[in-house]
Amino acid sequence: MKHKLSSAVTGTVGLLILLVLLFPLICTAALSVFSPVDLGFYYFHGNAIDSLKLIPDNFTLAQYAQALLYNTDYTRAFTNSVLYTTLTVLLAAVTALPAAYALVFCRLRSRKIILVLLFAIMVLPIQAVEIPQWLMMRKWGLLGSDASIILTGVIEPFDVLLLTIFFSAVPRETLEAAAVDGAGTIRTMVRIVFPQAMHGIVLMFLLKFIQIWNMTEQPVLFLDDTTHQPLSVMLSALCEANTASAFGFSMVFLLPPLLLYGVFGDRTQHAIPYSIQK
Amino acid sequence: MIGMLLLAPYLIGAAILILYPLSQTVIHSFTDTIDGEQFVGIQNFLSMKDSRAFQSAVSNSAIFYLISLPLMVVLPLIGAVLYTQNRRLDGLFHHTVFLSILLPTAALMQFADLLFSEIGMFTESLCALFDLPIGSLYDTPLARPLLILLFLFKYGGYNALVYYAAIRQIPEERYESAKIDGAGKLACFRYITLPALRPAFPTVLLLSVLNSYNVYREAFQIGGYYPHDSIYLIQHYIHNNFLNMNYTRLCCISVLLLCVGIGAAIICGILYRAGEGANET
Repeated sequence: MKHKLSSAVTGTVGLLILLVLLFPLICTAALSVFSPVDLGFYYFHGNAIDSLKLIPDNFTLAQYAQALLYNTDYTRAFTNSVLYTTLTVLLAAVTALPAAYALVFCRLRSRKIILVLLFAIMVLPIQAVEIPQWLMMRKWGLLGSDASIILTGVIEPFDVLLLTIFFSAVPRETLEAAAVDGAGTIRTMVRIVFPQAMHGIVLMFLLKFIQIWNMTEQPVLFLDDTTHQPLSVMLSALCEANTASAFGFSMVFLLPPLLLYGVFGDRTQHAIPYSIQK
Repeated sequence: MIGMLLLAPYLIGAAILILYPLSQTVIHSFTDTIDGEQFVGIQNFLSMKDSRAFQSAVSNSAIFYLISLPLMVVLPLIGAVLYTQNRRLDGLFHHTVFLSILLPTAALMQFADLLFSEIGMFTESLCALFDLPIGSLYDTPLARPLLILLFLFKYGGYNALVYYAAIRQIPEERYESAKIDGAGKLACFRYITLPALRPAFPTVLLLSVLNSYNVYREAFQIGGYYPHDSIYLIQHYIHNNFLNMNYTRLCCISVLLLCVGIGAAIICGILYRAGEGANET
């Protein structure tokens, strides 16, 4: 009896905390289907807001239509974000996956030094690196180009270090068996190691995507032309200029990572315990 | 041999995009201009040290870390322990944390605006409570606690997830045998859970520090380029110097932050070693 009661209490408290954590998202989602007139009436009337009204009087997708169809500034920024993020994540994949494989499975004499170096780079604040990178881009005449944004996003040692954790969990016998069968390194990597470490690879991709999708510091410094800026930089300005569709704007920005999480999220649930073990 | 080949693209990338620019910056921090060759010793650093904006940026950042890091280590632990008591919330907990990470800063700030800006729901009552002139809380000393709150809100869940996973790996039998020996819940926590969590603490600390580099995004949304004095951070200082085209000073900041980063790396390394040592014994 006592046990049941205590589990009911912890359950309720736990649920409440989750609700608080989710509340900004719930609020944004709810207000994104308000009509612009209602938003003005309930929220942006110039006076203090007296209560949070979350049920819309008139359900409408007008804010989403603004974001996806009519507001050209928004659609342009959105396209930029898609372009930058896709290219960066792809480039990160083709460099980080083999690097992590080499660090785990190849006998490298300099393995320890490289790991320490990567760790040191990972811990550096982005603020320490952004100015040096800006100076370099200026020297190379790349300031304002898409390449400057994509290149600086590719190398983040966190990706490699995360992957090495998952690769280490792959049993070595499977690799030896592949070697006996005469499989080469590339074949072993793609056919044997990647499938077994899929949860971790998915987690790394998801985190990388979120990271790049939300990037702010480098684009603000490197790009002075607003037509090249990604949505992560433009979102707040666009929301401020269009308060009537601001919540729809936020929701559309959230959709790509949300969709990816919806598709791959369940896999990450299994991946996280591993990453802590190390 | 093939190992080096596989590593090469990444290492070359890191050398060109991170190590080379950093080395150039270290050199420039000791010259008169970024294109000049004139060596001026530590003069750039000395003049920066006297800048009032620099002093306030450093002290604000230090205060931010001193308050938020302990909270980031302790509060998620309480949350994680709570959730391990109730297995039905398992999946929900995981999804909530990820969704709160996915939530863009701009959306989080829109929500915060509804509560704390000029038109915010709680603005008037909080202003009255703390005896402040009525107006957006972002322009008052309350901006600092607000920023810390946003930081905890956005990244605390992640730490809870780390603790949670570590607690889940403790075999259930240990608790059961402790119960038979008459140990209470508190004793179980003190003698079973906490020691088992020792390797998790450095990870949590590291994640908190890595995430804290992004807190400027929230600070920027709260106050723009020139926020309230109490949340004027290093990133604001960088941006203001950038607008003034004060590039040698920017190099100096980068060098200082580089030292801070290396220091943090060393501390984390030591903590990891200690955690591993504890695990083996």
